[in-house]
Amino acid sequence: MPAILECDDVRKAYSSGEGRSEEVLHGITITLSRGECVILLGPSGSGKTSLLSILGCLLTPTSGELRIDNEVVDFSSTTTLTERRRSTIGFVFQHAHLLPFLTVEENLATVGRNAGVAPAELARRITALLELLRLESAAMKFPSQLSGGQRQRVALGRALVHDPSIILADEPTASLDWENGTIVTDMLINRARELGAVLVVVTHDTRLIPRFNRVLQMEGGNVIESSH
Amino acid sequence: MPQAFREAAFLGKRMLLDKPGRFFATVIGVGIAFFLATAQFGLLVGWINTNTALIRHSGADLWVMAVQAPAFDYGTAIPRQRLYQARSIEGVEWTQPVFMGWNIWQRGDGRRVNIELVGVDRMYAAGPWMMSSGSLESIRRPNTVVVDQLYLKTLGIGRLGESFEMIGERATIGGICRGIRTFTASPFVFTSVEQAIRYDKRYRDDEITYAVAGCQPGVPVGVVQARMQRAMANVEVLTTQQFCVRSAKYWMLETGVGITVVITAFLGLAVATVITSQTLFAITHDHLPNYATLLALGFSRNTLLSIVLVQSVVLGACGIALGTLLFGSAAWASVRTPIPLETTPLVFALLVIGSFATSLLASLMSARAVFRVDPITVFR
Repeated sequence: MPAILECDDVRKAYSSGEGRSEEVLHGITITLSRGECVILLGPSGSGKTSLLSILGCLLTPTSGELRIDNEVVDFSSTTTLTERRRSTIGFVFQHAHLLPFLTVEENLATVGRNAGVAPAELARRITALLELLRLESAAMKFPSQLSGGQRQRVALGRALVHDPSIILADEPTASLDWENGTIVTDMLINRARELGAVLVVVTHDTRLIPRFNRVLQMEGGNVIESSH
Repeated sequence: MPQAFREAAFLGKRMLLDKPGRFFATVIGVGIAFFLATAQFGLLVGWINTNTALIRHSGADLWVMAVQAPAFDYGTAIPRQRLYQARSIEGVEWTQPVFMGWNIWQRGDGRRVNIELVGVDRMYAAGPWMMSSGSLESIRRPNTVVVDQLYLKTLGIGRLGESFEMIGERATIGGICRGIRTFTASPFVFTSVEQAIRYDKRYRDDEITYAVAGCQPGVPVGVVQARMQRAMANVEVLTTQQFCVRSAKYWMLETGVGITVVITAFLGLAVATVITSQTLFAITHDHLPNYATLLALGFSRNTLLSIVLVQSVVLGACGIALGTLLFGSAAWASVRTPIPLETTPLVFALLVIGSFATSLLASLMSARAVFRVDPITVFR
C-alpha cells in the first residue's frame, strides 16, 4: 500500500523557561499507508497530542521531516500548512468544537466549501453523511440543541465532508458512553476504509483496540509498535 | 468575490447575529453616535446656510461694502455714490443698493424685540425669495414691511395689514415670506431702502450698507471685481462666494460656535469608534475558540481577519443606516424651525466615509486578537 503519512525522526522540544528546553518527542519515525486505521495509546504526557498536532500540520517539529503523499511539509510556510489542513486532513476533536452559531448542516457545509467541494457535490455528500450519521432530523438544529453523542457525530461528519486522505481524531469518544463511543469509532473506521484514508485515533480506551488494524503505543516521547 | 471572502462574510454575519441583543444594541449605539455627528454637522451646515442665505439668494455677482465688514449682519454705512461708481464699471450690467441695520420692533403688547432691518430696491436683491402671503412689492408702499412666517409669534404679528412701531415710526405688514431664518435670534424685517433709512436714524439719505452688482453675461466676475476695487477707495469688493465665506467664517470661527459644533461631531464619531471597538472585541473574544477551530480546519488567517472586517463593516453600515434614518427624520422635523438641520452630499459622504473609517479602526484590536489565536488550542 502506498504511504500517505510519513514521520522521519521527528522531534519536538518545548521551552521550559530559563533557556532550557524539554524534548517531548524523541525522534519518531512511522509510516502510515492508505486505508490504515491506527490507534495511538499512551499515558498522559507521553506525547500523543504533540505527535497528533504535528501530523495535523498544527505544530512545527523541532527537527525531522513530515511527508504527506511523498511531499515534505514545509512548516515554515503558513500557506502550505493551511492548504494541507484545508484539503488533506480531517480533524475530530475531543470536545467536538462545532461552530455554535451554525446549524449542523452549515457546520458541514462551511468546511466543504472551504475545501473547494463543488456545491452540488457538497449537497450530495452532506445528505449522505447525515444519513450515515443518523442526523437527518438534526440537520437544521444548532449544536446547543444536540446531545453529546450527536455533537460528536456532527464533528465526525465535518471531518469527513471533504473526503480527506488523513483523518486525525483526538479522544473522540472521551465524552461519550460506551455505546455511543463504539458507534462513533466504527463510523470513523468504516468511512476511513471507504475513502482509503489514514485514520489515527488517540485514545485511552484500550477496549477499542480490536477495532483497529494497527496499534501504536507511546511512552515517554517514543513510539512502540505493538500488534493485537 | 473570492470564495474565501464569501465564506468570511457568511461566518462573520452569523457570528454577529449569534447574540441578536448585543448586535442590535451595538447598531443602536453606533447609529446614535452617527446621528450625533451628522446632527452636529447638520447644524453647522444649517447655520452656514442660514447666515449666508440672503447673500446667496441675492442674484448678485459682486458686493461693495465698508472695509472689513465681518458679516452681512454687521455691514456699516458707505456713500450711495459707490452705487453709481459701481454701475459705471465696464462689465457691470446692473447695481442695486442694500440697507442692513439693527433696529427695535415694538409689539402690540409693548414688548420690544431686536430686529435686523433689511432695505432692498426694485430688483429685491438680498430680499425674500419665497412669499407665503401678501406681496413683496408692498414694500414700495410707505411704512410697509415684509416678515418671515417663522417669526410671526416673536414679532407679535397676527395677520397681514397689522401695524406696529419701529422707533416711533409705523410699520404695516404688507407680506409674509418663508425660508428666511436668522442666525442672530433677531428676525429679519424687509422694507425698501428709502423706508429703511427713514426707520434708522443713524443713516443719512445718501448712505447705504451695500452696493450689489450683476456682471454682464460672459464677463469674468474676477475681472470686474478687480476693476471695481481699483476704481473705488475705502470700500471692499467681494464676490458673492467670498462674502458667503467671510460671513460663515465670522459666525462659525470667530464666535467659536462652529468649533464647538465640530468638536461635538468628532466626539460623536469617537463614541461610535469606542462602541464598535468594544463590542467587536467582546464578540471576537467570545469566539476565540471558534477562530482556533476554523484555523485548525484549514481556514486561513486572512479569512479570519476578513470575518472581523466584515463584522466591523456590517456594524458600521447598520449604524450608519440607522443614523441616517434618525438624521432624515430630525432634518424633516426641523424644516419649519429656526434651527434647521441640513447637509450637503459632500458633507454627508465625508461623514459616511469617516464613520466607516472609524469602524475599521475599531476592528484593529479584534484583528490583533485573531492574529494571535493558536489553532493547537483545539486539542486542549
